[in-house]
Amino acid sequence: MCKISSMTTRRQAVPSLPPKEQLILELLVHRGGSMYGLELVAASGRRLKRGTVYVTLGRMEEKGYIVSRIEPAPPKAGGLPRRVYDATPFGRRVLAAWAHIAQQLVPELAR
Amino acid sequence: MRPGTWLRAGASRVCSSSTMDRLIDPVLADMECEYDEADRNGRPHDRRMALVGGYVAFWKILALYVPLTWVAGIVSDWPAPDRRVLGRALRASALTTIAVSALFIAPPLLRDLTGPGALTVWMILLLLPQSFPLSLPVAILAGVLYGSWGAQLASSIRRKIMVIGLAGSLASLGTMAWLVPAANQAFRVGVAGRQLERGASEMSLGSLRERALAIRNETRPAEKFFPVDARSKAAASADLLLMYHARVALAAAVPIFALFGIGVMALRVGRARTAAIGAAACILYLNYFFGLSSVPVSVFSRESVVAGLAWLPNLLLVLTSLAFLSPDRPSEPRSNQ
Repeated sequence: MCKISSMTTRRQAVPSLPPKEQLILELLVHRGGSMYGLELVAASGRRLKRGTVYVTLGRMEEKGYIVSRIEPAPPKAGGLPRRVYDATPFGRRVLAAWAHIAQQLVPELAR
Repeated sequence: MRPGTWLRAGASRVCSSSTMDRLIDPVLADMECEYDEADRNGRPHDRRMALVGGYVAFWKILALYVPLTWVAGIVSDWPAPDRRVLGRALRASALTTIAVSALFIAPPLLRDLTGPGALTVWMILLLLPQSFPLSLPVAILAGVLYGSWGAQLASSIRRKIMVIGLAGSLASLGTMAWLVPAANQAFRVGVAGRQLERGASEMSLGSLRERALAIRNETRPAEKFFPVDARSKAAASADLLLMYHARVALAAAVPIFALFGIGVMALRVGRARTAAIGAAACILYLNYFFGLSSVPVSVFSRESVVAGLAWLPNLLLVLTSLAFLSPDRPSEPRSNQ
């Protein structure tokens, strides 16, 4: 019984990376540097939607895959400040591990 | 005034500061930025598209995700045992709703598949609302019995189950009052391929009662000489009134079945007997409602009698639940059969 419960706990601790989160990490890592939510939507080729991208980004931030910071609006613009996103070292490791697993299990995916 | 100012002011009244920071502000900031850029470049079409895209994203977040963050906020404050029981109960309820809905929509689907008009996915979806009010009481009972098995039903969990039952009751009432009549009519028109006059099943709750009372109170000059017509008028009126009260009673059945589930769990009679009691209650209850349509209600001239017929199973379930929950009842030891 103890063994089963410890296995369950260990299984829950493994980070998961759903396809949309993987796509966002790939864009942030491979394009290098910070990106706005709308930039991510544009760069994803319509695979990310502007109505849902911030929900996914918020979830990824909670998981520790990305960090965000507020970028002040230009002095003359006077609008709302924009939020920019960056991959964390942990997020990069998760992406690399995920790519490695995918390569091991389904070699066709890595091509 | 910058675009999105009013939206932001409205959203800030209903959203927490973290939702504003993480979801609402970034969407509006993107919209402003796109709008400004299109404005600077002198592209009015792009400016309009920036507004449309921004508004759609804003309303999507407000309608879909903000309610979820509210629910998540409430649920995260619950103690872990409550979350576990209610999570299991909701999963079991969802599965039961799907299974029972499939059972209810199968007969009309099979009947109309052989008809002249081809059924589209849209028409199959139109059948779903009518199964919802029937499957919801069964689903909540299954959820309570499965979710709370092996757990102590503390009063905090009982209260939450009853609140969920009341919410389900409102959803069921709304479905029966507006969604089912509209979906039924659209389905009939779709199958017939032409416009049809609305029948009793296609009337909203309000118009059903209105029509019933209008038929009963209607006095045409010719009918004064033909008392037979008065009897058929009473029959038609009583039929419609019974349908009206049956719909309301079915909606009210959701929290009543939740209460019944809590009562059955208090019996502590073992898994097989618990499941058997639950199944028997559901079968008897639904059969009663299906059988009501063949009852000659026209013999009852008073609406209170017709209403009593519709509400009788609810009343019996409440009384049975209270008897199960009575502290004087000797409890049996639980056995896993």
